[in-house]
Amino acid sequence: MSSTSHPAWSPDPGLLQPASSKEVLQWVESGRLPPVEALGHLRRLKSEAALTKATTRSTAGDLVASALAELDDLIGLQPVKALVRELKAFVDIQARRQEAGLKSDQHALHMVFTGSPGTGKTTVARIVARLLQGLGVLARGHLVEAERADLVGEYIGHTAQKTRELIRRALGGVLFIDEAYSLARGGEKDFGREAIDGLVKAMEDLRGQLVIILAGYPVEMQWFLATNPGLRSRIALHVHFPDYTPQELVAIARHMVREREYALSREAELELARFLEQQRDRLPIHSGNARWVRNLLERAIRRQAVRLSQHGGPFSREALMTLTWNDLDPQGGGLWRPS
Amino acid sequence: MEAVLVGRPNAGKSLFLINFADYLGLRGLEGGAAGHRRPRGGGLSELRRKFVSPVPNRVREPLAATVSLSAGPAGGISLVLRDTVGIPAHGVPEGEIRRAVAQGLAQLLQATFIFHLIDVSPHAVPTPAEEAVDRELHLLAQQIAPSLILANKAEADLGGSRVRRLKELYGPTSVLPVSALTRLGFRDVKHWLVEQLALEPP
Repeated sequence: MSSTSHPAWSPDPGLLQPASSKEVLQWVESGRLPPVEALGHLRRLKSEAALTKATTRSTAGDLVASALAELDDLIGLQPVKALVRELKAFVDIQARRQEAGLKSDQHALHMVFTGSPGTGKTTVARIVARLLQGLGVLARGHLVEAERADLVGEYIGHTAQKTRELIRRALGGVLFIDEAYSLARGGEKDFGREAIDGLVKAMEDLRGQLVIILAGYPVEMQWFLATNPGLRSRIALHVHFPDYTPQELVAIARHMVREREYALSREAELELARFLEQQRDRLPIHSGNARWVRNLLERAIRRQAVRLSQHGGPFSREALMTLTWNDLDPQGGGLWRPS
Repeated sequence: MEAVLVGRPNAGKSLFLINFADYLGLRGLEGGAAGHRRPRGGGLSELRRKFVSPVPNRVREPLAATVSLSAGPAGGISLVLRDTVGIPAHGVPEGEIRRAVAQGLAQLLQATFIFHLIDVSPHAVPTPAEEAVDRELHLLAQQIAPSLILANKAEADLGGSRVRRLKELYGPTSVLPVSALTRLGFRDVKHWLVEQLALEPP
């Protein structure tokens, strides 16, 4: 261990302490911290973290309010927002009825989310999980995302085990199964059937402990539910996510760049709106895909960096923030992947 | 779910992992050297030769074994048993071992359950520095996940004085005498795991 490279280091714990577990591990690796001292630091950091968590732990009411605020912040999605509010009202009133000694409907809150990719299904599922936690329906309010490969195994018995494990992980939260219809893809002999049976059983036996959300394209999901009445009869809520309009996509783009402390030039914003309008119903973008917008912007940020570094400094704050239409270049390479 | 094995070098973690995995029902292996993913007949004794050694810090690329555990109505649950590099009482000159120690600590922080192995055989009476490692390790483990001290090589602790000492230090319910070699106490360790699984909040 060379002491010259770290002249400030001293074994006196008051002087310089690792600020995170990650830093502790880095210091162990570099030889700056003997393993036994690392154990002490990790313990200190762990108890500090527990303390802040305890003091900032939000109350149930805060959770509900923050989940709804986050929902309202989402661009577009009006029908989705309305349905989620309905859900909240329903759960609220059932709880009040129970308090009043009235019969309360204890039916499960499993849901189907239909819509094209990139229309906010996962985002809303995460919000719903926290909302239901705040309303006291779910104990943990976490979201476990899964797809066919997480459920379906490779040999007899494997699927049941994988499905069970996934359900176990999701207990107290939401199990979100994307492209759920693919479970029925392989026909009668496919192991997907076994996964569907496992899900149906969990929906019935574990209601109140877990909410399952099945998601996918509208047409495929309709077929999937029609052919699996066991699933359909246990779904309480069907939420459809409409495609984003070009205006909404531009608003999303504006929001995304602002979050990253960038800005679209005026030209870029106008051209993007025009481009989206033109491409509507033509390219994959016709599905109103917010993920496409994110990829576009992330690539634009890289292209802006290249442009600026080729140009040479010094840079104004504005130049460092602005993304031009040329940076966006939606028809440029590496972005279109027609589905 | 991962049960992470920790302890000082030569506490017997690797042998415990291999034999306990064998006891619970081995489903598969990862890590270690390539070519050990699916042990066929004789695979385990080969692993023992490769990973178990009186030379401390032999394990640099620790093994992980997937086992299945039957726990009540939930049915077979698969659990990963993960070995880590021994935590030495003093600074380590070799960068490779330091890296492995850091990686082991990272895995410890992620553990669902922790088995902390301590060698209680008569030739392994700890120095104060070594005892400090175990004390720190125990305190940290308790903050992370349900943890159990396994007083390993208990068959060699004639008269049981070392196990008694550990029970005095850490509390009688935190310590279980086991032997990775003779499989003494494996049933109790399994029971502990099953109990923890039942207690684990949903």
